[in-house]
Amino acid sequence: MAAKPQPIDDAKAKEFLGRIARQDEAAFETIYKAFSRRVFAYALYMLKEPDRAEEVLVDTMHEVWRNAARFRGDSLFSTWLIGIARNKALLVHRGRRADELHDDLDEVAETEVDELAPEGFAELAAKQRREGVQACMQKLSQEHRECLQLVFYQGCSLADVAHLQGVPENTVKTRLYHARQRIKNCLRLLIEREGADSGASS
Amino acid sequence: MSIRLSELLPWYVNGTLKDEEREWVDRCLAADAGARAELEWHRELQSSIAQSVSEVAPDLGLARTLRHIRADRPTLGDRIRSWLGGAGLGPVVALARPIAVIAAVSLIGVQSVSIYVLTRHADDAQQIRALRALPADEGPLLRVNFAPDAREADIRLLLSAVEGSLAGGPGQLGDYYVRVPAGTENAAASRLKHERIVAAVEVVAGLPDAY
Repeated sequence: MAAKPQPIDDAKAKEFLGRIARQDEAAFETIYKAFSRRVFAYALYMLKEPDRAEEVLVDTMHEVWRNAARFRGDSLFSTWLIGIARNKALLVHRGRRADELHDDLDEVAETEVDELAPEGFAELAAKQRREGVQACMQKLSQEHRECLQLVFYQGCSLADVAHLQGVPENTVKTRLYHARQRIKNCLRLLIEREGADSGASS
Repeated sequence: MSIRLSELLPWYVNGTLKDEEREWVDRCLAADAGARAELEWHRELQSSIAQSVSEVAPDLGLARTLRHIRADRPTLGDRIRSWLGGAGLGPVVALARPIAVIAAVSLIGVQSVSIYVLTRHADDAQQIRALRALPADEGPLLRVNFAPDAREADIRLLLSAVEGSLAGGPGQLGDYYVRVPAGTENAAASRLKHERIVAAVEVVAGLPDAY
């Protein structure tokens, strides 16, 4: 595994983008290494397949190279980048066969909880938390999964998420509310299942 | 816990709240243990999502992307053609193709007549000499290969520094043939070979047969 690249703040990223617009490959490589994990993570959440996620990463970065001069600087560089990745991922998603789609929801995540109770993590050990969240995220619809990813991993603002998903801010709030509800419910069911399993084995 | 607090907590956790909203959330958290527990849940969710992201090499797919980028780049020939077009020489470039066709047809015609004359009047050397086609570009010329990253502006400057003009190229191997004032070929070649954008330079007798 290559050394972890230094994070790049928005001002620096925009400076590098200016150099990329002048065909500077070294600047491009710096940006690539600094943001590849974020783009890959986003694409993987959207598509669930590493090969396709890598494809989206390559296409997205290629687009950055070609369109660096067109970036107006109105948004954060990372928001612009994720916007490109989103379009690429949607193209891949739409290109899938129909029977590959709509496995997003199942009965575990569909059941609503009555209220936003803050349980769900304390009972789980760290590894189980990570795996639990991963498993529960996979059960969400694409919009909900993307919403959680954009907020909690990409660090996007409400306005940015609304812009990226192409919906009003209130819709983002609603999606986020339901996504959290379903994650909580899913985690609760996991804990109950764990309890039942350990009760049966004792 | 209020709906407003519930709506704001995700943005509080990811650090994108405006100052006044952040202060409002801080006040709620200070006053409400349930709100603090909810905040803790959001932080755990954030951390779990971050940990669930696969570790990938930062240069994953980089080599492939660079290949795409380099494949997009215009070739040196494209750049020179574009430069010739931009320098008002577009009509010359446009004319070059039909002229080349006419020249090729003429050459075939001349050669056919020559063969005819040779077979009919093998001893009439004077007639043959009269029909011999003169090469379009008598040498010597410089055969130059430019570096792949050479820009047409740099090439233009370089050619003008040796008072050179393009006589032919690029060939399949990227050869360009440059005409310089008679008698300055060796000096021009010595000068060009030290330039960063010149990969190779050689004085040659003239354009190869393919031209």
